[in-house]
Amino acid sequence: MSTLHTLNQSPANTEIWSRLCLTIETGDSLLLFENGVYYLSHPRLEALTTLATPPHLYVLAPDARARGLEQASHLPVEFIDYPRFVSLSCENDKVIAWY
Amino acid sequence: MTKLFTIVVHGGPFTSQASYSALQFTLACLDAGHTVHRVFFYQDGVNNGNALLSPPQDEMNLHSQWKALGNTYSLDLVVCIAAAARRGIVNTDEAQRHNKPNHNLPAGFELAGLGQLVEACTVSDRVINFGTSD
Amino acid sequence: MKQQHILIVNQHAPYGSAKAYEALDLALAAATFDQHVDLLFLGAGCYQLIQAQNSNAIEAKSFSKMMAALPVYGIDTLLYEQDSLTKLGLKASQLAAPCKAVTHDEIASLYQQADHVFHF
Repeated sequence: MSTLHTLNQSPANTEIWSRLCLTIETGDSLLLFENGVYYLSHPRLEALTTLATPPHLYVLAPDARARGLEQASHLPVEFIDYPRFVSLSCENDKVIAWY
Repeated sequence: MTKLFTIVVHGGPFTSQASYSALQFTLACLDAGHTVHRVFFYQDGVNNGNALLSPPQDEMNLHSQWKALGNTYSLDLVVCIAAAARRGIVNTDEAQRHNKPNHNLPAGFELAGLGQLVEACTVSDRVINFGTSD
Repeated sequence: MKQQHILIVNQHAPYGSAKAYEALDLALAAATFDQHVDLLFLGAGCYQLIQAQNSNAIEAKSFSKMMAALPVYGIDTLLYEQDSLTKLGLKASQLAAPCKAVTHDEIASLYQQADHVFHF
């Protein structure tokens, strides 16, 4: 049982981040889109990758590009398009949207 | 393996990116051969049904985009009737019922209750929510 | 209709926005169709639970009354995050009757058990 979590809130929304981290399980995936892509420039994302079993991380490329963020990251993040967003929704057993 | 999707749009056009994101997702779903059981518009998302939206020429008209997509793929575009009435989104029947001189929800969008969202939850493989960014 | 586990998460205070009303509307609809509904209140959402709200003062629909009707629909407990209450400076004694505090672990399992999660 794995979950795809989608997050469209910026790092300014600290409450939602802590709750999201509370519910992320081993094998889950996290997709950052809309304002969620601002996590690319926030240390909290790096902290998430240092967990024993970090979630798979995805960033919706057009949303990052629109917001002037680098299309590359030193973190293990995959930049994806909408078709991949759809296939991630299928590969996981459910999708929880955080907003 | 194709799946049955329901897309829930909680944000209005222009005032949030939710509608655009949901539209792109729906398009990608259909392109991949999945079935979209229903698109349900709730909260400010009901404003996507407003035919009077008149953005400048060089900006996207999300109402028209949804309507066209619905038309092309015979999508079940359902606008929550209670949320819509409160925001002044009415079709011809509702305009008559509420004694209003005009309507703004065109054919292609259906007004129905939240039961349609609940039903969608019980039959869909995936329910994908699009809320508003901060 | 197949019964699903639906988790409705409230993160906003009442009256300031329509989110609280529209979350409750969905909860009532889901319960009417015999779905298993859990209502969870987090952060500012806990303000929805304050007792003795008098919405007449601002000519708004009574939120307390709507909440009081929930048991009729089979929604017996309203769950809130204990931490949120502490952060907001609220006391459990200020909340309306059928509320129950839940821990982080319990919240995590609510999200795991849910077939569908709706955030408001």
